[in-house]
Amino acid sequence: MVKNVVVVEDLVHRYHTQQGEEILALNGINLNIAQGEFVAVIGHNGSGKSTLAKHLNALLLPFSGSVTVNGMDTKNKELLWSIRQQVGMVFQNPDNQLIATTVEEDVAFGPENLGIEPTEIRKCVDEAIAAVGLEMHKTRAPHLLSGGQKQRVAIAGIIAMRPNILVLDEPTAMLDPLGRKEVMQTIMRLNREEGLTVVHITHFMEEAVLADRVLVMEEGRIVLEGSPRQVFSQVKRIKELRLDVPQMMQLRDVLAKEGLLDLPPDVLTVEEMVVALCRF
Amino acid sequence: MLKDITIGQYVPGDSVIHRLDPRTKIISLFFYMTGLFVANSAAGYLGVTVFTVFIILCSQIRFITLLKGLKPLWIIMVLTLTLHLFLTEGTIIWQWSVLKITLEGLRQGAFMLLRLIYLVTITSLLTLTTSPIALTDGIEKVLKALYVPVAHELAMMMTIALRFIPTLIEETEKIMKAQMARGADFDSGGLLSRAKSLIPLLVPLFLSSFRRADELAMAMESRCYRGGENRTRMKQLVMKQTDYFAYAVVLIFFGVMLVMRFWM
Amino acid sequence: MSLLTERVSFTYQPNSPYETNVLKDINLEVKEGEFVGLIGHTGSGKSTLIQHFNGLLKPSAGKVFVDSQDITQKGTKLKAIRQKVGMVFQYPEHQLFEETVFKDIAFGPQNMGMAPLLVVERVKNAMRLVDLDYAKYRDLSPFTLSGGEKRRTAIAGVLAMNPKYLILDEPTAGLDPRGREEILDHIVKIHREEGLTVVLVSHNMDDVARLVERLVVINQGEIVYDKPTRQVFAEHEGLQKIGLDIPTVTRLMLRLQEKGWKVRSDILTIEEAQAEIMKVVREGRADA
Repeated sequence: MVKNVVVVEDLVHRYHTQQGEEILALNGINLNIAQGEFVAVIGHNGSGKSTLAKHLNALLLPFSGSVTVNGMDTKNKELLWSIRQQVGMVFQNPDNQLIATTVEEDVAFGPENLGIEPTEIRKCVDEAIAAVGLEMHKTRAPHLLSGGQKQRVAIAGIIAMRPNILVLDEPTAMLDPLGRKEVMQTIMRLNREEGLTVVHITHFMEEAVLADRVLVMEEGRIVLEGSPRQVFSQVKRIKELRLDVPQMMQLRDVLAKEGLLDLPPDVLTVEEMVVALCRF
Repeated sequence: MLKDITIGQYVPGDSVIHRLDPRTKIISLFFYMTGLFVANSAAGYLGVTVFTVFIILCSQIRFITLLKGLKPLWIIMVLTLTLHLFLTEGTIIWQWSVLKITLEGLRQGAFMLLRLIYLVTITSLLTLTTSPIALTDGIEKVLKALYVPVAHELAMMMTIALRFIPTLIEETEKIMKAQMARGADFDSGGLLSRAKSLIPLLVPLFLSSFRRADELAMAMESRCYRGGENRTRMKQLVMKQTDYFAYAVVLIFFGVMLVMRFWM
Repeated sequence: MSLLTERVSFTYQPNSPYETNVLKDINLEVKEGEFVGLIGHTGSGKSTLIQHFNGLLKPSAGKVFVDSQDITQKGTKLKAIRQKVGMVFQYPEHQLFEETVFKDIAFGPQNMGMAPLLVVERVKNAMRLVDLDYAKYRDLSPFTLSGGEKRRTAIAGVLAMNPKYLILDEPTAGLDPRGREEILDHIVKIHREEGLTVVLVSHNMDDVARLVERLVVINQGEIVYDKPTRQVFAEHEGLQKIGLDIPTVTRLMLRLQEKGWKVRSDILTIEEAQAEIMKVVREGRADA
């Protein structure tokens, strides 16, 4: 029986705008994530996905409902630092997460905050830097790194604290294609090889398809949930939500619409489309 | 010319001075500066000069680099020299209508000029031979030892500021270019109009800095930062034999300066 | 009438340990009325190149001509050039600074010395082009707007100068799919309605394939391809070698070709792919 490391029950997040309006950024979220799962959360800006992410490490607290990670309730003040050590968070802007003047100093920041003994810190730092493939850049200054490298340093800084859950809030939004690839490869590796549970917030559909499960958010609610295939094959619904649909699914849809070709409904990649078409 | 400023720059190296504990360097700098200000005779300044040259040689930093670091200060240097040269009372050795140069003026001018040069040079040497991290660590430890409150927070502020200087410079350039593309002119006009023209540059910079601070704080909190309490450091500062030796050398210098000043 | 670089080279920080040859002997002409795409990696030199067109950078060697005027000559009135060649940088919302949307958009025209009445006209038109309702937005503080609205305000700020050429550096960077679609629609509208010559710098192959007629591919400071869009994407091996991707549907066609399908591979959109596949399937059925 795989454990549920994240349990969200009826989560509501409320705030007031400058004009005095009351907004429910999260309107009753229910979610269970098992150890080792790779969950992608997609939705357009304003759907509440970032807000949800920030509840997972107690940066935000519920208005009502609850968030429990590794058995710890986020509302419990005494568990705050344990929660933040176990639920690592990576943000969107690569620059605004790095505080030190060299890579290894920055990666050491987390362990130093935890009061870990110096030789142990050295070990954590070296392992984390190796895990993201930046050994060659250990003593370099952050401003000399590419966007993708900076984000990998940010990720290393988090895994140096040995969390078991990694939450990434649109980590690739500000990167170029190469940087996005680097970061996604790193995340996939950490999930597959180190068993880290990953919650990946993104609006890039080509990243969402890499997940075990996809959650689609709209106006503070989860409106679609399932495997990438299950979710993205609902082309019409995804389009209504003004989100990207994988190109092959769109193609499959237009081919099927005219009653011309009856292709399987869950064609996701180019290869799958080629295989499906070649059966004709 | 901005590139030539040596204070704040770090040049990695392996000299004796590089390898000294930053605390040693900071405290030694204090004693050096005091010794420098104590000197007031030709013999005294000779002593300071010998000691200064000795330190520079130990650091393996090229004299050219240090000389270049003085370039931005040439106005102050000329001013110092001229003021002392022309305004000191005493035995006149040269005169042209109201302008007069005295022997004492010559002496004072030379001494003050040297003081300025040595001050800037040795301070530059501190930053040239000490990495920013080591420097802020050293400052933090020294402040803590002096029971200065919020020592850790001050050091953290310094580290973050140092880390973001290149980033801010880049961002300033970007905003400048974006505004120039809209016809903004930062180069022409009188003082007032130039000041006004900075608004399209400063407002965005301020705003992005605030946003940056906000996001940084969130990231730091997410990494369990809660101030200096119970915090460890990966790189430990350890005093070595060379440090004690360095202290001895500096204290001898200081002693010699005191003796020269008050007993000779 | 065109934007022309003639044997332009640019060296970053010459005679220093950081000296880098960012651009090497670039010859590029963008003719009036064109809609050109410029693609390359970070570090390929594309951002450096476009900054030559409005005089923000001067080439280390070579000349730059805007409508036959050599702007590398001393004494060139660069402000006038910058009115003619409008440039929208990445994340343009970072340049917003004024108290109201109107004032910020008016900054450009005012710097160009336009008369106040004309400035109002220009601001109104610019806001119309990016779908910002004049009455609703004009007195709002730009900082209370959403990310997408801020970006459109910033773009309007450049359009208000009434440029002839418009260069946009990654206008969709950081936007979600809906935001991306909106901005690209606006750019197409601007090109069509106002007749502006547009240079679109982008990473996104799928976007670029849909929009531009001509594609310039730059890699390590040199122009690798400068051809109509379809022809560039046909060079799939060359593109992959420099680490650039081809549109997904194009890749599909190539794979089908490998499997023996008699399909064209210069396909850029889903509709074209559908048509081409159906054509082959029908022929197959006809044979059977």
